[in-house]
Amino acid sequence: MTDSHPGGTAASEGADTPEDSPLLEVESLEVHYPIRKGLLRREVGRVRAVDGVSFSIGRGETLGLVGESGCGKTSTALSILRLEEPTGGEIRFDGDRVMRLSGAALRAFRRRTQLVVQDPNEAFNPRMRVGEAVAEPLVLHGMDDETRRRRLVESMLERVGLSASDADRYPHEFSDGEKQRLAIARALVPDPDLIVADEPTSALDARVKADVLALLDDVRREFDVSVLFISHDVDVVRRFCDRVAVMYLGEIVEKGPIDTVLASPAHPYTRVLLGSVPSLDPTDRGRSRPLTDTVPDPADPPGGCRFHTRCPEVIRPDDVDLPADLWERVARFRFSVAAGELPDGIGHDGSEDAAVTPATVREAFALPDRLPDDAVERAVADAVSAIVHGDLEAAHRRLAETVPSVCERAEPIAVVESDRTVRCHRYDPGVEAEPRTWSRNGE
Amino acid sequence: MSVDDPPRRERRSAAPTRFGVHDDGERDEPLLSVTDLRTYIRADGGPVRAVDGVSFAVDRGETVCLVGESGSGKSVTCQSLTGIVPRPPAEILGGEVRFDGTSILGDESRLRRVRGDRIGHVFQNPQHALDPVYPVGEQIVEAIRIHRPVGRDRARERAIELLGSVGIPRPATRLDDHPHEFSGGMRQRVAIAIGLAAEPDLLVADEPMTAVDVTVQARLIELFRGLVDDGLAVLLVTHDLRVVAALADRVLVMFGGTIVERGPVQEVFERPAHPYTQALFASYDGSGSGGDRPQRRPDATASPPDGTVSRSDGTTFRTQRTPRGDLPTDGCRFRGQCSHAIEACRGPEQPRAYPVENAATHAASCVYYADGRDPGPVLEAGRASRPEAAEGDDD
Ligand code: SF4
Ligand code: SF4
Repeated sequence: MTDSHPGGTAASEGADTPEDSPLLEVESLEVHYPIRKGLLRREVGRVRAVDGVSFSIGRGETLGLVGESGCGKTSTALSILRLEEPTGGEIRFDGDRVMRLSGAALRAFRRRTQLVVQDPNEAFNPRMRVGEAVAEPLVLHGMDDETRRRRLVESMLERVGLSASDADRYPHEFSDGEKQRLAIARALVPDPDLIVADEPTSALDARVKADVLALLDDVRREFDVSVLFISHDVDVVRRFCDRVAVMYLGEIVEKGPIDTVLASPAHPYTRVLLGSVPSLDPTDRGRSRPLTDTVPDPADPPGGCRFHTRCPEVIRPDDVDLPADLWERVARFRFSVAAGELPDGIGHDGSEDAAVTPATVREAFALPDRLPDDAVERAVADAVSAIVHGDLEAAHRRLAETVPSVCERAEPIAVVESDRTVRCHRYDPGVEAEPRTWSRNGE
Repeated sequence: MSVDDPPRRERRSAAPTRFGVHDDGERDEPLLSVTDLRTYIRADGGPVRAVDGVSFAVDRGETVCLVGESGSGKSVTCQSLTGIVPRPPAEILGGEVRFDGTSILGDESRLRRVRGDRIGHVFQNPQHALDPVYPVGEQIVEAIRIHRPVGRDRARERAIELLGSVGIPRPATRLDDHPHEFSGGMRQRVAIAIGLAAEPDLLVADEPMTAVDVTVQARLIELFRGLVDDGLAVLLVTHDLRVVAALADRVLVMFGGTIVERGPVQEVFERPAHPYTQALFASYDGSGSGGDRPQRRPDATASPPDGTVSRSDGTTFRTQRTPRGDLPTDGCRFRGQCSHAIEACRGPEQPRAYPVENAATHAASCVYYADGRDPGPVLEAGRASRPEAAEGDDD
C-alpha cells in the first residue's frame, strides 16, 4: 500500500490500488482511554476498549461486528471513521492511512465514508426540512447548485421508498422506520464507498426492521457500497452480512464467513452468544450458559484468555485428574465464587447462615461429596467451608491456588481454521486440547 | 445459577383470602380476568382507541405473553389493569378487570391495595422504578415496608434476600449503592426485585428485557422461569417472538388495540393463523417468502423497497405509509396492510375470534376462519414463511 500525501487521493483512488485489494484494512487497532483520579487527574489505569483488533472489508462486502455492550465495537467504528483517535494500530482506507489524512484528502475521505446511527431521532434536526437534511452532505462537499441538489435528493427519497414531495416535510411527520429510510438516503447521497451502520434497526419494530433491512440490502448492492454493520442482533447479522467478526472485551475472538461462523461457531464465546438467543421453537428452551454472568472490567481484563472467567470450555490442566464435566463444575464453582455469584440463599458475604452447610454448597454447584482428584478436592473442601463461614474472599483465594489452566496463563493466538480465524487455545495445535463439538444447548 | 434453587416463595395460590368473599363457585376463577377493556387516548385528531375491547385471563402460576409492535396497545392494556395509565390523556371507558375474585377496575381504594402489593410492575426502562438519588437498598426497604408491617432491620434482610434471588452478586455489599453504580442488566434486576418486594401474585412486566444484551436476556429469562416455578403468575409484554417462545404458556397477539390471535404458545408458533401474526413471523427470516436461511434478495429489482404489497385482488398498496392513527375504525383493523384482504374484511364489525382448525384454545380474528370459508391459502402463506429453528444447529 502507498502512503498518500495531502491532496493525493485522486491518484490513489484509482491507479495505485488494485480492485481486489480490500477497501478497508484495520490492523492491530487500539483504543485505550485513560482513567484519571484525584485532584491532579493522575492516570490510574486505562480502559482497553479496543485492544489489538484486525480485520478488512472488501469492496461491496458487508462485515458484521457483533458483541455485547462494552466490547469495543462502537469505539472501533468511530476510529475507522476518524471520529475518535486510536491510541495504536493502523487503519487503511483504499490504501491510504486514515490517521494521516488531511486537507482535501480528508474531505474526500469524509465524503466516501458515511455513518448511520441507531436512533434516527438523533440524526435529524427537528427544525430542518428533511430535504435540506438529506442534502447536507452535498453542501458540505461543495455542491453549490441548488437545483441539482434538489433533484438528487428527490430521486434518492424515491429510491428509499419515500416520495419526492417528502423533502418539504419535517422529521416529526415521519415514523421511526421512515426516519431510518431518510438516514439511509442521506448516507447514500454523497455516493460513499463505505457505510458504517451502528445498530441501524435495533430501535424498530419487527416488520419495519425487516423492510428497512431489505432496503439497506438492496441499495448497498445497487450502489456497490461496503458496509460495516454493528449489531448485537444475530438474526439481523445473519440476514445481512457476508462475514462476521465477534468481539469480546476489546478483542476479536472469531471471524469468518457468516454461514460458517453462525452455523457452527468455533469460539466458546461465540457459542455462548448464539446459545443465549432463545430459539423460535417453544419446545426448545435450553441455553448454553457462561460459567459466570459477570463481564470483567475492561480496565482490568483477565490475564491469559480474556474469556476464561466465563468460558464453559476452559481447558483442564494436565495434572488435574477429573472427567470433563466435573472439571467444568469445579471451574464454575471457582469463578462464581470469584465473581460473588452464589445461588440464592447461599453464603451472602459476611453473613453466617445456619441453613448453609458444606452439603448445600456442594449441591448448589452439583459437586459430588468427594472429587476424585485429591489436590482439587482439598481446595474445594477448604473453599466450601470458608463459604459456610461467610468468608467468600478466603474461598476465592483458596480456589485460585489450584493448578491454573493454560487459559489463564497464556494469551491464545489467532489460529486460522480453514476459512475462519479463532482466538482460542483449543484450536492451537501447540496446545493439548481438542475443540469440542457444538450444539445450541451446550450439551 | 446452575441448579434448582430451593423454592423460597410459598405458593399462595391455595389461600387467596385477603379480599374476603370466596364462595365455592369462584374457585375456578382465574387470578386475573379482563373483559372488554377499552382505553382511549385523547389526541389532536380525535381519540385514539388504544385498547379497543380486549378480553383475556391469566391463571395462577401461568405466563401469558402479550405480543405486538409499538402502538398496538399492549402497554396501555397493562397500565390500565391497575389504573397506572396516565389519565388524562388516557381514559378507561369500560370493561371489567377482576383480580382474585374481586372487580378492581374503577375502585380506586381497591386498586391502591392491589397495586404493588398483589400485582407488581416492571417496566422496560428501570429508571421508571428507580430513584437515582437514593441507594437501591433503601428503595427496596421502602417498597417492602409500604406493603408489609415489618421493621427496618427485617426489611433490610429481606432486601438482601431479594437482591440475591434476582442474581445480584454479593447483595449485602450492594445495598448502599446508587442505581447508576449498577450495569444496565443489573439495574433491571434491581427493578424486578422492587416489583417483587411485596411478594405479589402477579407480575406485570412491560418489555423488561428489551434493552439488554443477549446473555443478560438469557439470565433474565431464567429468572422469570424460576419465579413462575415458585408460583408467580406473569403477564409479559414483549415485541420479541424469541422471548415469547422462551417463556410463554399462552400468547395474545395484539394489533390496533385488539387481540387478533390467541392460543397456547406451541399452537401459535406451529400454526400462526392471523395474517398479522404471519407477517410478524415472516419478518424474522427477513423475507416472508419462505426458507429458513438468509433470504437475500437475489437482485435489487426483486423487491420494491417501499413495502408495496399486492392484495389477492391484484391491487397494490404501500405498508409503510400507514400511520397508526389511520387504521380503519370499522371492520378489520389490519385490512389496510393485509395481503389477503377481501370485501368481507370491511366490516362493519372487527372480525370476532374464530377457532383455528377447530382448536378449542387457538383463535384468530380474521374472516378467513369464519364458518364456511376456507383459510387454506392464508394458512399456507403463513406456514411457508414460518422460520425453522434458524439457530444454525450443526445438522
Ligand atoms: S482459550 Fe480457553 S478460556 Fe479462552 S475461549 Fe478457549 S477454551 Fe475458553
Ligand atoms: S379479516 Fe381480512 S383484512 Fe383482516 S386479517 Fe383477515 S383477511 Fe386480512
